[in-house]
Amino acid sequence: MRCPKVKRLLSRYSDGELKGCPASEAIEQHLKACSGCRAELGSMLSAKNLVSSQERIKLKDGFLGRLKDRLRPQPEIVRLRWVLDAGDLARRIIPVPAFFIAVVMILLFGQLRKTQELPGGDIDILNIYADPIAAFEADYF
Amino acid sequence: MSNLMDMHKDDDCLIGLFLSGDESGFDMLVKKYQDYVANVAYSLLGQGHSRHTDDIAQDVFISVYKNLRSFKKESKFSTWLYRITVNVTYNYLKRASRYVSYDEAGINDVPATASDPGRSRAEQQLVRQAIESLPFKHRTVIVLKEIEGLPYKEIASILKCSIGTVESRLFRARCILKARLSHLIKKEGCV
Repeated sequence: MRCPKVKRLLSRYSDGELKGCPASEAIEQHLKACSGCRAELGSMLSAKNLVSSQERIKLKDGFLGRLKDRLRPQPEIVRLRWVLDAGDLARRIIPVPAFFIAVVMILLFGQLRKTQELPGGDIDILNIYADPIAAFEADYF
Repeated sequence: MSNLMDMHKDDDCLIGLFLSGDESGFDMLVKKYQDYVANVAYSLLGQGHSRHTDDIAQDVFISVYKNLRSFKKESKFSTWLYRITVNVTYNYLKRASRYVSYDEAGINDVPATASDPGRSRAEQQLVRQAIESLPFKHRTVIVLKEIEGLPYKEIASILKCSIGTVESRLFRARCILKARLSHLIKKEGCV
């Protein structure tokens, strides 16, 4: 077995996942002869050792009690649940009609701009004050 | 971990007890696994969020409480529990990354640790930072393998991926860790 293949398998080898495989013996044979791969294995084992000796934590006393408190239904929340549910439902349902109302409004608004007729003739009501003469005619005739 | 392996024989009894309406079954499951869950969450969270370990552990067991009836026993209970822990922690970090900066945590709020007396606090911090710098999927594999000591097959089952994927993620994660901790590794080699 050559160095690149051994280096690729070293991770599995160091985890003992190759036990009983022919590859395991081949790696051991290679390691006896190759100082580079031995060094590679040494640094991998050191890294493993550094990580596996990381601090382990212990939860504060009374974890089960705190968990039980959270699992116990809160009376006020139960009483107000219908409000929360209604709010959630409204949040889900309102956007749909709101979207259609917005589309209809935009269409109507566009139509209004195009076809709005005033007593003074085909004057755009929205731009009426942009043109002082048109505004005068609209007001007085 | 070997204790965990031995204890999993009783899990079915405890689950059965809970499903029959006896809450003490759930209580015993919590007592049995709370530190495993907390350690996985703590290692995955990183220094910036470690003060939320207790909350995450509670969220995990709340999820277990709500979903235990739908647990199909296709895998061991511990595998299922680890999967929930990884998912809850991932979701928390995803949410937190939108709203919270990583450097806001107070060091005083970190849970009590039982560290290796032979290793200095600064070294522990360096290793922790190196683990934290890994992408989440690589970090998960490293934590489950090196800290929890699980075999490749179980890690693959927890993460719902192939053993080959676990292997390649571990290989990559170790390459990154070796590069980041090279000075500590040299020191380790000299000792």
